[in-house]
Amino acid sequence: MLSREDNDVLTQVGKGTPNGEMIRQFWIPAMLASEISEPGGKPVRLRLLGEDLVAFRDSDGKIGLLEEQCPHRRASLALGDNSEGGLRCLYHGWKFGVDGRCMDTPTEPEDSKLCSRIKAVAYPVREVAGVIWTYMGDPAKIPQFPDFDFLSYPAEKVAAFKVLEDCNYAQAVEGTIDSAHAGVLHREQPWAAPAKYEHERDLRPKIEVEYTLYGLRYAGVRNFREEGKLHARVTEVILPFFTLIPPDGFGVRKNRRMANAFVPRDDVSTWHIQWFFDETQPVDIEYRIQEGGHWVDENFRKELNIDNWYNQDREAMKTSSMSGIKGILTQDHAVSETQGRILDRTKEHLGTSDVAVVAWRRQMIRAARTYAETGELPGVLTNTIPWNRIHASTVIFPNDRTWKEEVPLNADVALKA
Amino acid sequence: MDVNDIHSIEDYSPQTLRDLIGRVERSSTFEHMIYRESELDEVWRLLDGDILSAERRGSNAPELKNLVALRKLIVDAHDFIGNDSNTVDARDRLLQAVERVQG
Repeated sequence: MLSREDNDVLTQVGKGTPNGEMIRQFWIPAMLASEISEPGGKPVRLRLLGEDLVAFRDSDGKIGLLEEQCPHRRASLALGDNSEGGLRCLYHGWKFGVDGRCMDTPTEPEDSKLCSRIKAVAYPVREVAGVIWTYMGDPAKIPQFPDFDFLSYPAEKVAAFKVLEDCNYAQAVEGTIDSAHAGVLHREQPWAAPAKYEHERDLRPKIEVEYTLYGLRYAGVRNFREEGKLHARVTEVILPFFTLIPPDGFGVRKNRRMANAFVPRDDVSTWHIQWFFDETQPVDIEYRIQEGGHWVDENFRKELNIDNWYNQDREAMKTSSMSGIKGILTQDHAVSETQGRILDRTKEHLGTSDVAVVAWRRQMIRAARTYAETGELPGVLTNTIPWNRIHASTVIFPNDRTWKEEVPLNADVALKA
Repeated sequence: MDVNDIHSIEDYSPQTLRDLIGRVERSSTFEHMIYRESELDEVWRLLDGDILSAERRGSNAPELKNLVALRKLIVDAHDFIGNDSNTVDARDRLLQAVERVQG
């Protein structure tokens, strides 16, 4: 449970809010590179952190991410002409480069100096592993890029997806740091039928949390089917909204290594960017779409969404599925979206299985307040984080040991109280 | 008294609150704080339920006022722990809660 004030801090992402300013201090995934694949192609409107932007790949192949409204009379630059190294506004022809620099003001007098004094708001970008990332914070404090190892995999071994989630980002993050729900929501049997998998048999994992300099990691620890052994799924949670999900550990699902970014579109919607990666074999994209339910329209809205009540199949709930909803991602989105566009955490009732959720919220609220008060972030930006050594894992081990002994934390990212 | 785990909270009796105070006093790491916050969540939940029941019963004003004041102390302790790892003020609020429960 959170007070109203704390809930507001956690959920508000606009410019000038404590959390919005804190999140802007990170590199964030903005869109799929395929959305603007063609040099000189159609610009794309994009909302991020409550800001309306336009993304384009100029005729030289360089990527620009600008405030959508033209600095002149505020018409949308997304209507503009993308050619000869810049984006020209349709209204009066003012033209801007990918860095926001004004290149032309054709309706002004020839000797006008206006162009040299005008600059569109522009954010730096990087194109990595099929995703365009941006940094929307203080230009003097551009942080370390999060070089997760999967981002450097060969193209066929990592695949990025993007799906709009109709709710605040925080409840979306919380859905993936909640091991206990997997055996219920994603159960591949009706509730009354015998459980199929380990995590469906033992619905009460013991959740243990360890804070780190980049966020936290937590384990859902269960008794394993072999006497004297424990089974732990260790999830990595990286500020501000990344989660690395461990493999299922039973070989049930193909290409089952996954990372999530829940990028706030605004206070009431989220871009769920999801990577599947597999260093041993190419990612089977069609299989991933079918299993996840990543069926989306041209605006990345799910075909199965809250307006059609996710096409929930009540008959399937009696025979083959707890949820009656097709696709693991759709199931996750269904429960997050039906919590309301912004979850009211003053009204919830948490249990012991929610301890990782509590930990993440507190870390976010603390980081937001600290940044607002000091202009500095605890941990993440002031240290060199070895991103490529952060891995989620599934481990089976003797019950006289702990998961922290099995998967020790690198000393250089341990957080001292 | 294991502070490295969440303890089950069944009620908000003086003994339960005293045990919780003991764990708060021994808590020092961030992990300890989230375990204590989770325990305080449970006290908060129990009080929410009792306040709702009292309202439905049409309980007399002093009883309801006492429950609401008790919840305020618990919420304060919860936020001191959660926001600031402030065990000193949390302990103070919990001691006041014990006094209030004892009447």
